[in-house]
Amino acid sequence: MSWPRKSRRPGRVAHRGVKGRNRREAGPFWQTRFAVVPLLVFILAGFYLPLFKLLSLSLFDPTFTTAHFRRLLTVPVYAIALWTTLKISFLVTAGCLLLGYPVAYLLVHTPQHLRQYLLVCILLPFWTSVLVRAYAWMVLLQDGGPVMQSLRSVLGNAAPKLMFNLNGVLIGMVHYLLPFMIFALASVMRNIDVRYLQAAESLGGGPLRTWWHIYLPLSVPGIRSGCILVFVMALGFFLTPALLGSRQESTIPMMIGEQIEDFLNWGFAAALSITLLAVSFIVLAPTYRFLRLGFAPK
Amino acid sequence: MHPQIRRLYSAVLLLAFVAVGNVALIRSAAAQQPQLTVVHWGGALQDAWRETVLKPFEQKEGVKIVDLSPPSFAKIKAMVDAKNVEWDVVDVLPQWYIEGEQLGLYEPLDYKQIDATDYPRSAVAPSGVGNSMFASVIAYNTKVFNKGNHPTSWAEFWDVKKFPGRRGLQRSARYLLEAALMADGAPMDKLYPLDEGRAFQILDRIKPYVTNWWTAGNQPALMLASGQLDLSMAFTARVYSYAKEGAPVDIEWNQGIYGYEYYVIPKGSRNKELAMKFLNWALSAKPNAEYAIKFPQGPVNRRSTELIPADIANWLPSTPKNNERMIPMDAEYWAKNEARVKEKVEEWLVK
Repeated sequence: MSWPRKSRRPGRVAHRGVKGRNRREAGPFWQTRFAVVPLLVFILAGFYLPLFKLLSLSLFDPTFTTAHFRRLLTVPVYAIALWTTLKISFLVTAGCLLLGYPVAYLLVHTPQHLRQYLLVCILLPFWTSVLVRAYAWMVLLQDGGPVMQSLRSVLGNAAPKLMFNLNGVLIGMVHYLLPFMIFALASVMRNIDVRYLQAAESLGGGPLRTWWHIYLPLSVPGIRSGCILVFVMALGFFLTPALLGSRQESTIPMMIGEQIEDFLNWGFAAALSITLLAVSFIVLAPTYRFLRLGFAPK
Repeated sequence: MHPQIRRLYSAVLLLAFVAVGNVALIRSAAAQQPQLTVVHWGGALQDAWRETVLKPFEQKEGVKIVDLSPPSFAKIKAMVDAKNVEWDVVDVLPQWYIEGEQLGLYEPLDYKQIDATDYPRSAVAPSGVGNSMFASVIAYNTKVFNKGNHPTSWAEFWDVKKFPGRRGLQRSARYLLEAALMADGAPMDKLYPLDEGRAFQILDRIKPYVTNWWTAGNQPALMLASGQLDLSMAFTARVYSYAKEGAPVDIEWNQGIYGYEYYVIPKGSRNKELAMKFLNWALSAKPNAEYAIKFPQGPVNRRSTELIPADIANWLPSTPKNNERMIPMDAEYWAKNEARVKEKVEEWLVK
């Protein structure tokens, strides 16, 4: 189906279209709507049912109890871990955006034959497991390792430590999540009409001004979806913080894994998961309004 | 529909039918040959196990063995709860054995089929059998320390003036609290039940000097071997696998903490009888010894010690001269207390 090009509220137009002019083309009402049913059933059974089970697991053990949530609220280590998880996710998202934006720009505005090589460079680490990458970073960032040696030769003793602390976690996670940010950005940048930029230039805008007033606002949907994607994925990391972090970088997913695997306390693990989910919903709440617009075609 | 597309559809459908038929055939054929699904910890250890224990059993009994990794306590419970048990023999940690037995997750073992006369008493349990002895000890980089000059007790490990260097400790409750209490001079045979308050006070002293709190079993051995740590708590067999390749690492047996890994048969296994037979084989002298030679964790069968060369015996936690300098981990204590104490450890770590 092709969308009417100039519409700003495509949802409404499409609706009118089905009812009116396009009716015969789209088939009778039940045919078009019922096509959605299998998908709906799949989503309900595959996502919402387990989520509901998770919630009940955290509240019934086997009779109704708030013990798991009380423990979560009263033992300070979980609040600290939640804060650490959010802090790391924010910083990783910011890092991915800063590094990913220029790369995505380059990817989109490079001639076709060079783009392939660039794509391979981005995708190659993408196919390596998170564990292997963490160990590889440990080799690179260790005390006598190549990165620290060159840093030290430039900065002397002022060289910051890059492993077994927050820096290490950020490096490892940004490296893992960068391709997601780049592809989210590139998919939007690819559709930016270059004639807008030419128009701006012909009206006397310099490259920086053109970028700031034209390109950046047009790439905002990509920034938004990239940031949400990376942030949500970062919330679930446990291997990288455990291997590259210090004792202070303990995240909620690390604790969920331990409760499930070692202590068989699935009720408490469920309570931790529900809390992480709820907090991420709250944190992402301001973006929902944009998210809805994000689905609208141009 | 376009005729070409229709032809394509029928071809795909036909292929699908053929594929389904084949799978069904293969499945029914597989169902006839007895098959055992066994689970161990993966990596070099799994290769050694496959070669020395699994393959000979397959040939001897004419059965097929599928080996998976890693064991998961959570998966065992989920399988038993769902009454759909896909694992027949699993290697589990000692505290998983104790807790799992209390939860009724394992089949009782039939010691008429498993000949335990040559196993030590401590390895024989109602629904699990100790199969190899591991130990957590002080390990060091030999470029920094050497046989004559290295920490020989946890008190010396704690002594950062006499033995400066980058230290690693396990991010766990087990081993860590025992080590702390020994560092404070608590008598080795009277550690349990652990004096937790005292242990944390002693841990406070070493906290600023710990470079890495490791979580994965292989991590400290790797970091010592590659020079990222000078001194660490580590598992002996993991250190051996690097030392054997010539890496500058060695261990101190004194005040090590040892325990057994247990073989269990999850309750409801479809191949219970074959699994018992397998356990009897795996712990008989020859395979038990050959596995220990490849991956030096202590064998349980007394008669297997004769089959092990001296240079390997030096690396085994079960060899008397090593064993008598260590303490046994109290798995029962940890099965009861680990969740609670680990929370305290995490709280102490982020402070």
